[in-house]
Parts: sequence; structure tokens; C-alpha cells
Amino acid sequence: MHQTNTDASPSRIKPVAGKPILAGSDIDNGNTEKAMLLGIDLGTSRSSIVSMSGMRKTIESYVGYAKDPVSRKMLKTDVIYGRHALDNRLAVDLCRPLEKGVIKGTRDEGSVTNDEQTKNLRAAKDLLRHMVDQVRPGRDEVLFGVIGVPSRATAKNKQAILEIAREVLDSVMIVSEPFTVAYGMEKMSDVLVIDIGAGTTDLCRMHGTVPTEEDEISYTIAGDAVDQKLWELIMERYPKAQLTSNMCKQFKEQYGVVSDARDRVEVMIPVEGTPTAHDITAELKQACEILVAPIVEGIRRLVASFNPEFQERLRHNVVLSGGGGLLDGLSKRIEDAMSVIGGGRVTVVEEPLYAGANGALQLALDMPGEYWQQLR
Amino acid sequence: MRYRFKGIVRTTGRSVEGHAHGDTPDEALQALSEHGITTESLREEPESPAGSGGATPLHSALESALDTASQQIAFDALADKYKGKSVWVLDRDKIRSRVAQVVDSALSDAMSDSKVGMKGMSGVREQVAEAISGLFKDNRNLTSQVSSTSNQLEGQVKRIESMVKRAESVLAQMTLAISRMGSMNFSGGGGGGPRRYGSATSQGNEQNSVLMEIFKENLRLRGIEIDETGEAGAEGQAEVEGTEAEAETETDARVETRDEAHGAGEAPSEPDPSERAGVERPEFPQPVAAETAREAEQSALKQWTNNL
Repeated sequence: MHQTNTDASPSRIKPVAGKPILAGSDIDNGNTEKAMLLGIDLGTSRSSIVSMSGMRKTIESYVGYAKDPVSRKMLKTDVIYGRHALDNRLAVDLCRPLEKGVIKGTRDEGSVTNDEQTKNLRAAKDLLRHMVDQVRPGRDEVLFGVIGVPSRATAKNKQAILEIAREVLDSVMIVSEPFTVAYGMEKMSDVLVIDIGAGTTDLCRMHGTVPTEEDEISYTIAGDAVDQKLWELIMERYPKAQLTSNMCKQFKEQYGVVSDARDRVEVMIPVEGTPTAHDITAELKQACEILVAPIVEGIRRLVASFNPEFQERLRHNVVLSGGGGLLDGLSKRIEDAMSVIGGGRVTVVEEPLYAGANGALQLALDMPGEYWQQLR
Repeated sequence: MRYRFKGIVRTTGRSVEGHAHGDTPDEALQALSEHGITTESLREEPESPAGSGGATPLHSALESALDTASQQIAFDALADKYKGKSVWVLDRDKIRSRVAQVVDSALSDAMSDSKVGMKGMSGVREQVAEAISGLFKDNRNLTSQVSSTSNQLEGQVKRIESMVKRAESVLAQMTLAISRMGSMNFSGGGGGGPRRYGSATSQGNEQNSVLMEIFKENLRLRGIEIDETGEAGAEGQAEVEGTEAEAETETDARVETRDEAHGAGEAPSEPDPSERAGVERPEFPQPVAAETAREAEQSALKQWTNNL
């Protein structure tokens, strides 16, 4: 039975010609149709999907299109995804359709041509379709999904994601990623969520309502920036090293650290074709460290503009999520750095890689069937 | 196809080796797994030709020779040294079976030879020595190629990895189910459900309004207009009457606010009073005579509103 909610009366929604408020039959089909609810975190580096049946997958956000008949024969398919695409990058046109958390070319800078934008949209759609296939929905199931986007994504960014998602799913909702993390943790009040992805670091304070623009801060200093910095530092110290940013990403994911208490990190990097051991301990720490200052500054700004009575509570309720949350010692390092703004407590969310998708799924489960029907 | 395997009996931890049959290595592994054996290594070993079964003493002699001739070394160092390379390794099983085959065929040749009586045993020994030296001339008779792709261990690790993933998925499913149960307020059994179906607490209302806000935002993204003026008017009026409303219970306060929204909605500045009237009528029924064709058109919307 539905709960009556007079505060949020739907009476204020104005019907528009050609946009029926109810489904054609006036019956809420959400209960009679077999609906598969999905939580999706479309990320710059990795994308995760969680279904209500318990299936979940994380894949690297790469799409590869076979270059020619030879590569098609070798790959036995036209399109490959994720790590498989990355491993076969020489045989495919490799596309990373997302940048800074949104589809490339949908930002306002206009640095991407129309052709590239079309290509990215197609790749993003293919990627989403592949992700949905991975959780094996039934043939007779309708697909309803909540997709997380960076907190400061513009309407244009969201519409681009919405457009591609509507071709894959039957009904879609777009929600800010840090919000989905908080929602999944059932912490909707006095909590500050920091979602460190590859493209953006999003900070969002929750105070019992849907966060507004003032509640959110987004930085582009995130995982990709760390990889870039690491590349620069290693090349500066070892100019002969043959290094790619993808290798830097692997080093970061394997050994990433921001504390001093860590053993020496020695990795094999080719020098003129010969694998050679390189000590990158200091470089790795220095590169990962670039995340800390903007995060602390963001926390300071969000706390300072919050109701003074609740500031203390907010500072002691900081939650890290996203791939960056997996960096060894990051929460402790942020706590230490927060001492200049009065201290605080930072915890890492359970399953940082899936926190956004889990929250999105919880939101999808809680969303009344009528809402889904109207958005179809 | 017959496969030679080495493994451990899952229940006892005892080492075991033998043969398994299957069309593919996966089938053989599956069969072993069903028989409670955790496989450590598996390789093809076609059926030996008939008649070679009688070489058991020779097998054990070879086994003993191989044992005494081999020495243990640190595998990690070796793996580091040959990482990523294709190497040939002396294959104990291969040596054993090839030597047995060679000796067996040499003996059978010698036995069938009509001159065996004249030559005697020395002739047989010569023939066997010749055959064995031929066997050892080509390293490929005694070694198997091992590369990073053909490494059986890697296959095993992948199997374990897929098993862990499956276990993780099941755990996630359980966590999800438990979290849904935890967020429910139903007193009886029968599992969980969406949190919005919980009892009517202030937190539930807060959550529902959050869901509504997200829904509205998504409507806006699709270019669907939302009439927010009624909401603003209602809030403004509620603020004026705030002290009175605060004294009421939560439910009463909501009714009060709604009443005021209705009042504010009737102000002449409202752009579209007919729609508002159509929506709010379920809460404040009007006389039957006042039913208009437009209201009838919006019955679907009323039904939807009532359902919420």
C-alpha cells in the first residue's frame, strides 16, 4: 500500500499535451510488468552496474571497434569492451567515451568536432548496452535504471546521457553520484560525501534534501590527474623509461599510497626494450598527494557555508567513495590535513567501486512505479 | 580424450594422480571437481597402445631414477627469471611414458626377431640402448613447452577467480536483501521491499519528498513543465501561519498547509486555476453540479494523485 504524502503533492505537476501523466491504459504497469531495476555508475575510467537480481559488474570504460576485416576475424566480433578492448588496442579503434564523468564533447568548451561527438555518443550507448547485457536481464523484462552523473554535470551533459540511455533502457533517471552514495548508505543528513573518480572529484554535503548547486563542489583533479602527474615525475627522474599513462594508472592502482609508512615500490619499466627495475616510491606518493589539498579546501568551503550549529557534525562525517577511496592511507591523510580547519573524521565507504551503483539501485527500488511509468 | 591429472582430495587433503576423460580440459576439470578432487595440473595423455601396460616394474624404476636425479629449487626465483618467456621444461610424465614405450617396442621387436636365439640377450640390450639413445637425442621427446598462456596454473587461478567472483555476487545479493529487510518496518515475515513502503514516520516523508524532487528534476530534464507557482504560494502562506501550524500535530500541519495552498491557489494571479482545481478536488470535494468536462479528462491524474 502506498503511503500518503501530502507534503510532496503531485498536484503541482502540470500535464503537458502529448506527455501523458499516466501510461496509456491508466494502469500502473510497474507492478504487473516484470521490471528489472538497475543502478548504474557511468565513470570515466570504470563503469559499474548492479541489478536487483544481485548481478553486478564493473568494466573499464573503453569501447573498441574492429579496424578492418583482419582485426574483425581475429576478435570474432565488431565491438569489444573494457579490458579486452584495452588489451587489443592495436587492432581496434579505441574509444573512451567519457571524460570528466560525462560524455566527451557534451561539455560546453566545444573542443570536440561533431563527428567525434557522434562517435562518443555511439560508444557510450554501446558501452551502456554491453553493461546491461552483462547483468543478463530477462527477455520479457522492462528495464528501469538510475544513472549517477558527476555532481556538477550541466543540463546538456545530463541530457546527452539521458538520450543514449533511453535507447537502451525503458525508463531512466539521472541523479548526482555523491547523492546516490549517500542514499545507499542511508545517510541523508549531515554527511559530506567525496566521490573520487578518474575524471572528477565531487564533494557533496547532504542535509536531508536533494543537494543544490551550493551543496556541491567538483574538481577535475582526480584519478587521471594523478596518472598524469606520476608520468611527469617518473619521466623527470628516469628520462629513458618507456612509460605510458596506462602503465602509470596500473602502478597507482596497485601501489597507490599517500602515507609514509610504506615499503619501497619498485616496478619494471622498459628502457630501450629491456625491462628494468625502477624505484618510484617518492614519485607515487607525491602524485597521489595532489588529491589532498583540493579535497581539504572543498571540505573547508562546504563546512564554512553550512549552518554553524551543524558544522561540527558535518566535519566528523566525511565519507570517501569512488576508485580514489581505495588509495592507501588517503582517509588518514585527509584527516591530518583537516586539523587546520578544526579536525574531523573521514571514513571510506564499504565497496568504494560499487557504492555509487548500489545507491542508485536502492534509489531505483524506492522510486514509486508511477514515476517510472511517467518517464517511459 | 584422456588427461593426466595431479591433485588433492578435497575432503582429506591427500595427493592423488591419475587419468580423467573428457572432450575438453574444462570437461575433465569439471569431472574431477565432481569427484571431489581439486586439480593442480592437467595435461593431455592419449591412451597408450595396447600391450604397454606390462611395464609396471620399469615405471617404478624410472620413477625412482627421476626422483634421485631431480632436485628442488625455489620456484619464485625461477618464475621471475622466465616471466613472460616461453620455456621448455623436462617433463617427468613424458620421460616416463616415452622410455616405457621405447623399451617396450625394442623388446617386442627383439622378441619377434627370428635371430634372437643366436644373438641372445646382448642383442636385445644393444637394441634397447640404441632406442634410448635415439630418444634422448631430441630434447622435444622429453620436454614440454610451457609459456604464460599454456600455464595450467594460470588456468586454475582463473577458475578460482571466477569462483570468488560468483561468491562475491552471492554475498552482494545477500547484503542487498538484508539491507532491504533492515530498512523495512513491517512486523511480519515475508521479506523486504522498497523503503518507501515503511511506516509513516517523518523520515519516510522526507524520503518521499526527496524521491519526488528527483522525479521532478528528471521531468525537467525531459523538457516537461512543472507548475511550481502553487508550491511557492503554499509555502509562503504556510510561513505566515507558521506559529499556528507548529502547534498542531504533524498530520494536522500537513492538512493546514494543504488548505492554505488551496486558498493561495485561488488568487487571481494564478495562471491556470482550472488545472489546479482539477488536481485538488479529490482532497476537497466539490458539489456534483460543478463537475466539468475538463475535470473528467483529468480523472486519470486524480487517480494517480490519490494513489500517492
